[in-house]
Amino acid sequence: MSEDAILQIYGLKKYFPVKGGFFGKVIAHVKAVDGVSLEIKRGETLGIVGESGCGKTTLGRTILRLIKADDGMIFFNAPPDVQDRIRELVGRKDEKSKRELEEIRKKYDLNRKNDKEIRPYRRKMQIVFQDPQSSLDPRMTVKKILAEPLLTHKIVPSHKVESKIIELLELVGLKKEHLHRFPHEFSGGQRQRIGIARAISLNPDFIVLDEPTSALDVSVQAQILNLLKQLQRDLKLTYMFITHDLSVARHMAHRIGVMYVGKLVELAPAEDLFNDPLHPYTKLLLEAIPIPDPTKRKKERKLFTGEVPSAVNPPKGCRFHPRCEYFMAGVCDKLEPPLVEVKKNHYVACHLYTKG
Amino acid sequence: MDDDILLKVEDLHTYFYTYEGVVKAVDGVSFYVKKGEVFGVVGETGCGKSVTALSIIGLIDEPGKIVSGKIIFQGKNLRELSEDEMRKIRGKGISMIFQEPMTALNPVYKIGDQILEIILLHKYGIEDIKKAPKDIKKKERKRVIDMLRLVRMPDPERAIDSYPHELSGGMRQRAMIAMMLAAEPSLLIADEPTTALDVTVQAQILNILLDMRDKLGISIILITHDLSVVADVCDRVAVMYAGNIVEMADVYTIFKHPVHPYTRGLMQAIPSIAEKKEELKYIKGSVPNLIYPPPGCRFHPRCEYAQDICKKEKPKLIEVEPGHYVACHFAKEFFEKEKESDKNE
Repeated sequence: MSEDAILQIYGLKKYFPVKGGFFGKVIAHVKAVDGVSLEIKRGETLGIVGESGCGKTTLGRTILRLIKADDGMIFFNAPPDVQDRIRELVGRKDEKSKRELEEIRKKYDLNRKNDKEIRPYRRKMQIVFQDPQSSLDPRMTVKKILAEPLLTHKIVPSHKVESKIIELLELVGLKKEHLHRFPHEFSGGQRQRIGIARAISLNPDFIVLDEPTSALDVSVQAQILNLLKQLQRDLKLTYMFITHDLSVARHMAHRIGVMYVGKLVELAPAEDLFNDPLHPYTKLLLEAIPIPDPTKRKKERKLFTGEVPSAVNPPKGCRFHPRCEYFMAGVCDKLEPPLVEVKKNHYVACHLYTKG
Repeated sequence: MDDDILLKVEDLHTYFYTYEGVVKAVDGVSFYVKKGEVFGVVGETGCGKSVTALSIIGLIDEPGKIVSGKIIFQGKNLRELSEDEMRKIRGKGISMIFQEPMTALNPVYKIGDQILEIILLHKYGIEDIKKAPKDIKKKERKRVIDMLRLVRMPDPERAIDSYPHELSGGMRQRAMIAMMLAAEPSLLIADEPTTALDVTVQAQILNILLDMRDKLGISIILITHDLSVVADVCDRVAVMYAGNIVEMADVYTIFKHPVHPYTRGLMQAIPSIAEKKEELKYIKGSVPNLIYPPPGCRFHPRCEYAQDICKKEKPKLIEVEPGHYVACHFAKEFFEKEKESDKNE
C-alpha cells in the first residue's frame, strides 16, 4: 500500500510560444516545464528548488491550473484505491489499460476539466505569491480582501463573515484593529500574513507557496516560516514550497525536488538530498551556497563555470551536460536520462546512475 | 598602523529632507577600511548601508544631504573637495558597482566601448571616444579584452562587441566589474553585487571580487543583506541597524561571539544548509521608520533585554575586546556571558 498522495502528476508539459518576425508568427517555444512527474503526499511539504528560469514557478501554476498545461495528467484527491490503479496504469501501452486510464482521467484529471468544472477544486488548492505588494489590491481594505473569497465560495453566511475574518487574522498573527486598513499601511511581513490569511480562508487542502519570503528581510522571513509551519500542523495542510534558497527549503521541506531547465533532475527526502546529493547539478548548487559560518570557509574556492541555458533551445540529451564535470561524450549529449529510483525514495535523472 | 588605513569615516550623518519629514538615513556612523581588505556592511532594508556607500563616493542627491562628518580617503577629506576634484577621485580612487548592472550600463553602447571610454579618460585624459587616435584605440582594445578575461567573461572577443541586453545577468555584472576596474581604483564599493543573481553565478562573482583583491590589492566595501555572503568573503564587518552601526569586528569574532542582541537575532534567524533547526528564532516587529526613529537605542522596541536606560540614552560604540565594537548599554555584560558560555562548551 503506497502512501496517500494528494497529487499525482505525470508527464506535465507547458510550452510558451515565442512570437517574432513581421507577422508575429510563433518561431519557437520556451519549454518551461518539460515532462515533470511527481507525487505530493498528504500532509508533507514538497520543496521545489532551482535557479531562475528552471520552471519552478510555472510548475506550481500549472498544477493549480492557473496556467493550462499542454500535456500531462494532474490527479487531485483521488481515492486511495484509484491512486494505486493510476500508478499501475501509467506507462502501460496496451489498449485495455489505456482505455481504463482514460476513464479515470475523465473523472479525476484536472487537465481534463473545463473552467466551470474546475471551480470546486479552486477552493481546495490555493497559492501564496512572492510579492505581497502586488498580489493585494491596493484599493481594498483587509476586510474586503478577505471577505471576497469567503462570499464567492459561500464559506460562511454573510452575517458571520466579519467574525470569520477576525478569526483568520488572529490565526496569522494580526489583530482586529487591522480590519479596516489598506495594504500600504502594512510592512512587507504583515502583508505576507494577509496573503496567507487569504489562502487559508477557504479551508484548502493544498497550498502552493511561491517564494513566499524572498522579498522579506531575514528577521521577518523567520517569522513567516514559523507561521507557515505552525499552520501546517494546526490545519493539516499540504505545501508545495517553491524557492531558490536551498537553506529555506531545508528548513521547511520533507522532500525536495531540484529542477533544471524544465526538468526534475533529483527528488529525495530533504536530509538525504543534503547529506548525499547525487546529481552533479545538485552538488554544484550545494557547493555554491555560502554557509553562515566563516570557520567553514572552503580552503580552495571552486571555479564555477557556465550559466543556466535558455529553455528555448535547451542542450540535447541531458540538459546539464555542457556544465557537467562528469560529462560522458556520446551518452550525455545524445540521450535524455530518465528519473530513476537509485536509493529508497531517492530519484535522480543522470546517466552516471543508469548504467550497470 | 595608520598607514594601513585607506578610508576613514567619522561620525557621518546623511539626512533626506522629504515632505513627510527628515529621514535620518545615516545617523552617526564611523568606521575605517584597511588596504587590501574586504569590509562587509550588513543590514536589513532601510538600515542605511547603501546611503553610507553613496555618501562616501559623493553621489548623494537632492533631497539628501551629508549633514556632518568626515570622509577621509588617502589622507584627504572628501567633503572638502570641489565637484571637479571629486570627479577625479571617482573612478581612479573609488569605484562602485550596483545591484542591477543593467541600470548602470549604457544600453546603446557596446560593452567594449564603455570599458574603452574609461581607459581613455583615465589614462590619456581623452573625454570623447570619437576623438581618440586610432592607434591608441587599437592598442587599448587588447587591454579591454584582457580586462574581460580577468573577470572571466566567457568568450571575451565576442562580448567586447555585444550590447548589454545581449548578455545574461551574470555577464553584465562581469562587464560592470571590468569597467570599474579599468580605472584601477584603490577602493571598490560593491552594493549588493550578487543579490539579483542565481547562487552558482553569485559564487562566480564573489570569486572574481576576491581575485581582484588578491591580484590588484584593492580594498572592497561589500554591502549586503546576506550574512552568509559576509561569512564567506569578508575580513571585517559592520552590522547596521536603522542608520547606526551596532556592532563591528573581524568576521571570525563576530560570528563566534556576536554581542549585540540585533546581531545575535539576525544570526539565529537565518536557516542554514549546514544544519536543520527545528524552529527559527526571530526578532519580533519590523524595522522602524527613520523619520521618527525610536528614542535612545533604536533597537529597543524589538529588543528582549530592553531596560529603561535603552529608551532614554543612545548607546555609544564601545570596544569590548581589541577590534570588537558594540553599541549597546549592556555590551560588556553580554560579552562576558558569551565568553562564559563558550568556556562551558
